[in-house]
Amino acid sequence: MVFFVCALFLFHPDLKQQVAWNSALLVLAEAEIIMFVFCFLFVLYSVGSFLRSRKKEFGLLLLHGMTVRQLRKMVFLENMLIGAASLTTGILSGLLTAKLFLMAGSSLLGIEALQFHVTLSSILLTVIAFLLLFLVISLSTTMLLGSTRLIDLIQSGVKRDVKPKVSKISALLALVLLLASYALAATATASTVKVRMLPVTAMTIAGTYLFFTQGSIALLGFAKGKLALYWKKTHLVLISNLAYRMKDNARMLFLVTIISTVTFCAMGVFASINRLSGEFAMDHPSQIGYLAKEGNEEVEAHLSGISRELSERGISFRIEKADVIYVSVSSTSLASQPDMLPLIAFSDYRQLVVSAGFSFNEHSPSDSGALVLLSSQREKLLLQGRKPASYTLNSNGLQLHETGITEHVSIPEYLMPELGDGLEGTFSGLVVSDALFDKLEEGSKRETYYAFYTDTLEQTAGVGIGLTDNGKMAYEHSEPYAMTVSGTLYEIQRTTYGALLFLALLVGTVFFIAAGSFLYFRLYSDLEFDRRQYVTLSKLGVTRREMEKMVTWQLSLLFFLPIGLAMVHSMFAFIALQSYLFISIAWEAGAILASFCLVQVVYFWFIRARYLRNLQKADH
Amino acid sequence: MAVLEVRELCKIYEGTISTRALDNVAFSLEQGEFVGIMGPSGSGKTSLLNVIATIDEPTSGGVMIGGQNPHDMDQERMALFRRRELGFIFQHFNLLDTLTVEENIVLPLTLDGTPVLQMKQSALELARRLDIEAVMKKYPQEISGGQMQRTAIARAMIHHPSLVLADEPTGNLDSKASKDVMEAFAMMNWEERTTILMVTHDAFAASFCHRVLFIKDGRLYNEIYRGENRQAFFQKIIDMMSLLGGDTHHLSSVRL
Repeated sequence: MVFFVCALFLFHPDLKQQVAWNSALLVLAEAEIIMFVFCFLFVLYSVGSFLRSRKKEFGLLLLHGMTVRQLRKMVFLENMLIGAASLTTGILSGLLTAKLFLMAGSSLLGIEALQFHVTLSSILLTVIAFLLLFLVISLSTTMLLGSTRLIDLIQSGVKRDVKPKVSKISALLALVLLLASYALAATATASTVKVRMLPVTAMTIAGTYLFFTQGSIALLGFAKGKLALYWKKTHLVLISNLAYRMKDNARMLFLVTIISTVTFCAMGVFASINRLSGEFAMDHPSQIGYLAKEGNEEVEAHLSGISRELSERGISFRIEKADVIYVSVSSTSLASQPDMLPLIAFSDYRQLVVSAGFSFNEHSPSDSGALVLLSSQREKLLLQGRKPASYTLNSNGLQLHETGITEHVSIPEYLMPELGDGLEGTFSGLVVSDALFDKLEEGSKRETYYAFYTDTLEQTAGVGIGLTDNGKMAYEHSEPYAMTVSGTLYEIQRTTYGALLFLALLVGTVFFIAAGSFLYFRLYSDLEFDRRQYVTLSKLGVTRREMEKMVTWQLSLLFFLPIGLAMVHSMFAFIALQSYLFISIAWEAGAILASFCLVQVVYFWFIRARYLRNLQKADH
Repeated sequence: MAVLEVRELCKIYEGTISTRALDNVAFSLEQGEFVGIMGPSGSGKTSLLNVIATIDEPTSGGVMIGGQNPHDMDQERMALFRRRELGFIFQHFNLLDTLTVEENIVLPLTLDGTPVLQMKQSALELARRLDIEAVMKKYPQEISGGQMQRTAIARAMIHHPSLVLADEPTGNLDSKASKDVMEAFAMMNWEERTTILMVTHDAFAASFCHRVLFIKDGRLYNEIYRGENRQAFFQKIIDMMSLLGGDTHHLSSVRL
């Protein structure tokens, strides 16, 4: 169904007319592919587990003279029928809820509400993709079935080995790995987070695996050692059952944990990124920025073109101008060695910042000092983390020392060359005192920056289409100018991030439901065993309330242990991420985790009620 | 006073065709008695046991165990009654696979919150007498059928219930294991004065009882007492069973 809704979006005709349709659609197409692959694995797993639980039935059929060929045909037809039925209900429910999703989607994407429109191609894509999926899975069922030896089939099932083997070292290792990766994540700083990311992820995954396969069983083993606790009321049955369940389900719980962690993290990140764009205005002080490189003869034509376009739209604007000079550098203390260093004068910097409407209370650097010219607020943390650099100029051997970072962005990024690197932070150049600027101006390469200031940034969307590519012409292009149109850039960022969030929501929901269903499948395959145990226990005089208490405990551990662990994992991931971002994502992260928690609780009560009813059916 | 008193018990299963499974059954068991119930398939043995065990409701009539009528209780108190006053032994052993032999034995005591030390001692003592001490730390699937059933006996008797109910305890055992299990029953009955009611198909198993009740078509048909000689008692049981037209193919006189 989700797949179908996604396809609806993908083929929606209105969507193609919107500004940034290509990037958003690309994201949706990716979502389709991810979902398809996931659906494939999920259906394969569930069909496999159902077939395995029916082994005995197949054995009986074979015993009564059904040929293997007929059996395969039967299973194949069964699967195709189920597949067709679920496909039909999926498309129907998709159609029913499509309008709702179109509305939600369009508001997330930040475009006008989309018409309810179902294209044949979206239905066709869904039908063909899933028919193919069921076909492949049905054909591979004989492989899933494994041995067709009668004796194996008929005697399958009942035996189980419950002696949990555990190595104390691996259990300890799980603890150490998890704690170490948490510590590393919590202490990560803007500069170390990139280096630590891979090893910490690997450690967490390994730690989680060991935690479920070894740690949890070791923990229960420890509880078993304490007889006063273990041999008390229903604890005896509860703990021994848990040990068995943990051992049997360790891999599944591990998978669920990792899937949920990935989902949480992805959704948290996308939700925060969506808020990041709220800080967009900080990074784009001028609504249109134009940088004329040396020898640009079209400056006048371009500038008057932009002015005319703005006037035609009835937008009032002001133009500010600043000179940028480039001095060559012989040596620096930076890891990345820039050849040419762009400089602007402090008075120009002040003028640009004040014109953008920011409050200004910075002081001019001394004659040998300089401020780092900030290109984007997100780089501030990295720049603050590195040691202030010093530069030796080529022409007169003058030394420049960084004394600080500009508080505001004065010239949007893309308009100037990018200095620095991903580890130390990138910046655009330096701000020097007016006196120094005058001294260095002589004989240096000079470029001029023109800033257009309008009232709001959205007004400028779509201005200067002929001069820019999707709202920008970066400095690195070989054109004689660089240009940014903030309105267009904002529009693109908004729709792209909106699409990403939308994708994360859709895929996240699918993952989350699937994780819950994995749990349910496991429960289902254990039901027969639990029923037998339930009957025995109730004959021995375990009251209904005690029974329900035991079931609740077991189920809640199965449900909330992986989710809880996933939450802790993602919390530390968010903490690490926080060190990299200059705005707080605590609220977004909290909201995401809380809403998933809520859904899980509802899901738990639903499954618990169903499970108890199923258990008690066997009462008589 | 009678430990178990069954009064005019009737059980009718409603359905498209209602069947009368029990028809005016009445008997009683004294403290320390070991009584068998025999009868052909479908005679109502299991229905009778289920009603006595409080797993099923009687249609009319009543059951008094130790002077109490458990069918008057609510679900909660009925469960507690089963836990304290009754012990169960099943054909399929019904040990919990996730527990060791020792844990299975102490299960009824843990439910009632007995101190650990006391549980350990009682379990050990019972295991010694039932000769399963060596397998105390093993899981049920690692031990033999005979050992499993003796574990079940220990579980049924560790809390000194007023009545032990056994449903075909030898039904899943070979002849050697059957003999061990029945001797264990006889020993526990003799030494502990435990009252035991056993439903069985097996004339050999029944020959360990003090008396055997025969039912057919839901009615009490006959009852025979053991006397001094078990061999003679066994023969009488076989004769009675062939008279009832039951499934004599279950029997094998070779065992004695």
